[in-house]
Amino acid sequence: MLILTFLKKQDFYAYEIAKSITEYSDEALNISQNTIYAIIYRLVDNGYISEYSKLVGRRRTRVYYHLEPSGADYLMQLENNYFSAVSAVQKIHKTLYEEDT
Amino acid sequence: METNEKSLLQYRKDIKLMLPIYGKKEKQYLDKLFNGIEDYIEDHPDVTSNQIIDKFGSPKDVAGSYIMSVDQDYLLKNLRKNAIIKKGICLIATILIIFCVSVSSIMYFTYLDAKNYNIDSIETTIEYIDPEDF
Repeated sequence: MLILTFLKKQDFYAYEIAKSITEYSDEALNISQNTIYAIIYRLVDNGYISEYSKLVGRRRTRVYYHLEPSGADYLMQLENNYFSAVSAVQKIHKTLYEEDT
Repeated sequence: METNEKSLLQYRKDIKLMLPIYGKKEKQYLDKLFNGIEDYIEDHPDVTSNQIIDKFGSPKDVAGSYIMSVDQDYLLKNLRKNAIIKKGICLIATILIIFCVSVSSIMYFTYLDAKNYNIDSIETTIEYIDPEDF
């Protein structure tokens, strides 16, 4: 979900996404690079994001990722699921806490 | 820097060994991962190969993440294909071994037979051709 959220803002390359997640979360989320690559691979495979190469310097190319409309829809669905799950957990937590006191 | 390059080559080889299948898709995946490693090195010029492996995961972790992300049908199809190829190679190797052993045995027994032959008599025919016939 976070990868798609970043890509909604602008096109990123994989390492930049991993770095941004760590930076934006004040280093609370330090997701392994290989996990990021694996998730990106799956998102590309499912057509939620697309990739294109950009020449960096003289010889090196860098792969950038772009959010596709189906990816935006998928992000919305993930966000809805995430927020309803968080509110459900909070509700359970609050109820149990009130029962104790 | 050279040590880093050698270690990274070894790292790539180790990941390749850990992957149950290695085709075009897997090569592309590794290319992208190593593209990311180049970005990381660009960001941290003094990084050691061990720090890179810590950041990007051990070969086992990388292979594991890839297997988890890849389409299960694709994975199963290719694993089945690999198993068929392996069985085919085994079958061909077995047939070749049996063929070689058979040919060698036949040749050996023929040699032994030839060795046991005793020449009792030699028949020589001397044909006279009359020069007038020419």
